Amino acid sequence: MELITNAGLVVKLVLLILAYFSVTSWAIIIYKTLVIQRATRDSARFLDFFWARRRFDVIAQGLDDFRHSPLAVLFRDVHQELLQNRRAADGGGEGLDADLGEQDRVARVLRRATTSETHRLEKYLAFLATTGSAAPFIGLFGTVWGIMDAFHGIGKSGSASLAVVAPGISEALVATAIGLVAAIPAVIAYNHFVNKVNVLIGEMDNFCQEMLNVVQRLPRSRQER
Amino acid sequence: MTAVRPFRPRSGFHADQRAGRLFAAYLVSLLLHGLLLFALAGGWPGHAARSDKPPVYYVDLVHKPVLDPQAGRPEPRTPDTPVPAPPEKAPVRAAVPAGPAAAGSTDRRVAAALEKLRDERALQEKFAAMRQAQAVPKETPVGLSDARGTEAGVGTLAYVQAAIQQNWALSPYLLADPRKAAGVEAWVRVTYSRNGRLERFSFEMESKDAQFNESIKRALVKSQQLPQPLPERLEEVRVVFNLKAMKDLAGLR
Repeated sequence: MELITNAGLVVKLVLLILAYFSVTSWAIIIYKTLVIQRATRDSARFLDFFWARRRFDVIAQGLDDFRHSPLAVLFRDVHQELLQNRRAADGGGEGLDADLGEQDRVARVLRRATTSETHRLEKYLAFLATTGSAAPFIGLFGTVWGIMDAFHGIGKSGSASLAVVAPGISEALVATAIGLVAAIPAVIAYNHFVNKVNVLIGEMDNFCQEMLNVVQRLPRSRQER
Repeated sequence: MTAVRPFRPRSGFHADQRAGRLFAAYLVSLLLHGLLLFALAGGWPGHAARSDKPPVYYVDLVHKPVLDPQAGRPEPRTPDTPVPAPPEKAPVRAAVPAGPAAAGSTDRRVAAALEKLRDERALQEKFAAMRQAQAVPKETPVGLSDARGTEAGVGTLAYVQAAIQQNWALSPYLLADPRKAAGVEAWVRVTYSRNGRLERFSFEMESKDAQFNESIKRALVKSQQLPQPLPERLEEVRVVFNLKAMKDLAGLR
């Protein structure tokens, strides 16, 4: 603790920035762990539920049980789109895309929902990447500044003994150490979460293809039932 | 009536976008960092117990190298061991003048009696010395047995030998090996300056065991600087390393 309290103003500022990076990184790590864990678990459960029911209206009624699954979001958006199309067809109304085929509209809805869910899953991961790459450099800056300060003091005192040089360098090196402490968990967590999100994105792509096939196969009159 | 379709599509559940969960994660993270700082600041229970242990320094005050060591110090005078009285002189009877024939035999008898008296006197002196040696408690620190000086401490050479001996270590496997002959021995010539610095060393006689020779070299390197300065410079003195002595020290006979 003395190393931190005895450090110069710039080094203290660097340590404060690094502390912010570290606290926020760990908050994101905890938060994303919960989010991705729930998304993975609910997606697996939703797929079982989806293929067991096979009726869109029944599936739509049970969606509240899979609130964290991105696949459930895709299904919900597609189902709402189909309902709106049906209402428009029954009422004889003309929407902006009334002349386009239903398949194309469903495909567009799926693409939009997939993009939205991917964005949600990847949210805050950029901060982890930034911490992993920038924190060591910020710490290094603090160290360089601290060593410059220490050498300036040595030059003023006129003594170059180890007792004079060592404390300043030791205080300066704390910044690099804390930078690494902030960066290492962030890099590990970032790689882990990116891998998990890629798995979920793959599942969403597969589900999109399956949904398009199902929509194409089912007769229009049965889609609402 | 035509159903009005919303122009802007609805996004999904986005349940996890609630700020509350991220805020809770932030609080947990702050708590973890606070605990870490507390531990680093020394507030952790085990931290103080470890750091408060005072360092222990060992200072050898008994074995101080001196120039003129005494044989034993101090030699306490115990009440039950009286100082041996000087041997009484045997009364010499006055020689009776005799004739020339008897004069030769009388001289021989006198000479024999004198010789016997000398022997008795030497014997009594030995007994007195032995009684005196037994009177000194065993725990009393003593110097060299053959020293005859006045200063408390050990001789320079004995001190250097003991210091090197302390730094001498052999592999326990080698020490316990019964095949190693007790006659494994090496002689080394060492030169120490007055400030206790090893200036040079050379093997006067190497043993046949390379591992043994290596251990001696290691001991000498460790003894490059003695803990105390020496009262005199040691020039090319011989230090003997004996495996049997080492085994005796290790309790392996």
